[in-house]
Amino acid sequence: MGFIRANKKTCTGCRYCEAICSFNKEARCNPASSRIVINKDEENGLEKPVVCLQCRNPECVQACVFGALEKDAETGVVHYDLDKCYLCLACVDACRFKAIRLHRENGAIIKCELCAGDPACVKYCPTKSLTLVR
Amino acid sequence: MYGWKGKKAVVDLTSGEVSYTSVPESLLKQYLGGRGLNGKLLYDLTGKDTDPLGPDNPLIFSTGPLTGTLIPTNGRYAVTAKSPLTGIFGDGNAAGFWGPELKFAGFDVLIITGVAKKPVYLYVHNGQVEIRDATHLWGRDVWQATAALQNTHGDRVQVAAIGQSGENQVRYAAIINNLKRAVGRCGMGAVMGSKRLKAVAVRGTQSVEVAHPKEHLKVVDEMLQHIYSAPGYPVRSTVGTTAITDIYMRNGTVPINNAQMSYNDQVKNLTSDKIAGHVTGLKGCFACPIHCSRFYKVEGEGEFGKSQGEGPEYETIVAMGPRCGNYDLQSVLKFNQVLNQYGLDSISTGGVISFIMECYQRGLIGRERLDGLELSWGNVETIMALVHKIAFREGCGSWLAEGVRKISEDIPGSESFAIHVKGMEPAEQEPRGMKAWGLGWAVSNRGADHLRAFPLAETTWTKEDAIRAFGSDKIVDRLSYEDKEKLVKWSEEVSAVTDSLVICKFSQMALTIPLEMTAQALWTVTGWRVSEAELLQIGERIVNLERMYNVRLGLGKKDDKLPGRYSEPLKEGIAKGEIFELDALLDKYYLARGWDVAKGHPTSGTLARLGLDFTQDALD
Repeated sequence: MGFIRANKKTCTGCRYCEAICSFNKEARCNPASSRIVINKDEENGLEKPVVCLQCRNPECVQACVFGALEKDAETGVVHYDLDKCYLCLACVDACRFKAIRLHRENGAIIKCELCAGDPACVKYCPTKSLTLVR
Repeated sequence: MYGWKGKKAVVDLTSGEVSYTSVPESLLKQYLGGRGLNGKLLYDLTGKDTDPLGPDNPLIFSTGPLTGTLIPTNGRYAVTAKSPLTGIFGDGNAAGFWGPELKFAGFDVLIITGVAKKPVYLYVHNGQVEIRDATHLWGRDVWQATAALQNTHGDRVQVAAIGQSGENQVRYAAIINNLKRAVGRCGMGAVMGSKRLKAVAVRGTQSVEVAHPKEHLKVVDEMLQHIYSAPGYPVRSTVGTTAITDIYMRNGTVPINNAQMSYNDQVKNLTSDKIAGHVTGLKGCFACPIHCSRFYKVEGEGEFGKSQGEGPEYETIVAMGPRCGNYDLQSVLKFNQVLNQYGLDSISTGGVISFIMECYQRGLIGRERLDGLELSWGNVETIMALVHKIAFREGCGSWLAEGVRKISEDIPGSESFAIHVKGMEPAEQEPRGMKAWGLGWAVSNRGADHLRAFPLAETTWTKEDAIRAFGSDKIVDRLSYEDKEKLVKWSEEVSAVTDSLVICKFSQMALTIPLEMTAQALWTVTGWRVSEAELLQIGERIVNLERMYNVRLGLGKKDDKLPGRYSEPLKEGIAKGEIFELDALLDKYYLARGWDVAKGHPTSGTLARLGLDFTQDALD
């Protein structure tokens, strides 16, 4: 299915992606539960979008000893299964991109699973800085 | 309650106590939130004798019902207090990311009273407010204080801070969030400084719930569609307010040398294309598709050679540029950065410096009262020296920190060009060449101000739009007085609603989102059914309440006036020969508002109609 590529040069840092992602997942607004995060260096005017790249050899999947993370052989998307998760956070430590995180309100791991191929963040990004690369 | 967190914190810095309550929904329905709600709270919490810089003046931070949702441009918040610059009703608002974060941190409203014994900041986090020591932050500028708080609380913390200007209670000090978004007007930063409150740092991981999620997404799609296809979008989303320099230059409405001139070829040095030459990227506030802001970076030599930051906006370009006789782009970019760091309102700062420069030009004041500085027009070294002196209240800066009205009282013969209304310096419009804006300045309840009325229709609408809305195409003739009182009244109502929701006037007014669509947005968030007419009536209620705040202080028709400068004909540009005649509009405006024409006060009947009976006592 691919992955979401972020262009940090054209990203305006408005965080619409964070708002729409959380809304799409939970029908309420909360950037803390967004699967995509825009980190900022405001003094230097830099935006750093962070979102799962659905790695070819995902370090998060390798780190998970409970089998709660699995890469779909067909689509390439790394899926998370809450029922198998013990919240050991090994995946969070393993991801060098910091693209997999703990959802503090729900007590669950959150990561981008590409919205079944139609990511809301891509659709709503005002500058089209997010693209789904297939 | 949907859209709201249902929680307000009242912080008493004198006792160190924090109490938590809710805001009644009935009050929110009457005043929406943000500016409107704050106005009601301020009316109830202060009186005639409240000292703006004393412990009893509350500093009120509010979000609105749409803050933290998906509605485009909802990233704003409002701050209200009795103004130390004007002594009357005062407020300001800013965008960025602070407002939504307050909601995510669990709060709709913060009310801060009292004075701390030593410098403090507030850390607002998931339903709790902590008063923390800020001794290590005192004396630092906004950027340093923000960086230090991000170091303590993480990069995702949102900081609204004062710089040295606020600490020193410069009467036009701003509160700055996200390093450059200014709650600029009316000296809210000075009120914060008087409380020894350096910053309010907020961080939260809570949700904002909406009443009708499916319909919410639908109205968001409609609003985005409207914004993206608006005729003004291509310009607003690329060069933002810097385009206004180009337009006002063509229109001959740039206030140059303290509004002694309105056109000068050299303004070309500062037009949008010149600013764009230093831009490294576009910037947007929370959930904003317009991204009117720009980041710039200049890496040259000398005092003005290096600068960076967001902006500059039109008002800052002209306030620190042509208004002070300065056409040097590099210096304007540097001033923009320094004013944000010191936390100074660029509009009032430029107003003060240009005023004192004209006093110097006319020989009404000499170097001896200005620490030996040479105040010739466009002297950028002097302007920078004055900015420093004002921020730190050093030497003559302490005097200049009081604002144009007070300075003028000390300089006989300067009254006619002491450009302020009710003690506040106006923004960079030229009423002689744009009549609705002149009326807007005169009647604004927070003193001279472009954003209270924001009658954009005068220069941006088509004749067809004007006829449809007001039954008159004179609305779009900027040199005509005809029907301008109707335009100003309607624009003030829409502005009040916009400032209370709290969303951005660029989407609601500049890109003309229909009010029915905004009412629908409000319904999807809160579940309140409100019509366009009811929204306008809420706006009317807010404008009248703010007027009554000032009536209670003894203000009225005598204070709704512009300085003598605007009775002098413009000498150049395509508006040459024009003056501004307030008399052509003022009584008509009062009548349109249902006010007493002799006093400029709402009538008892108007107050009753708007549910403002509790203010009747203030009428004689």
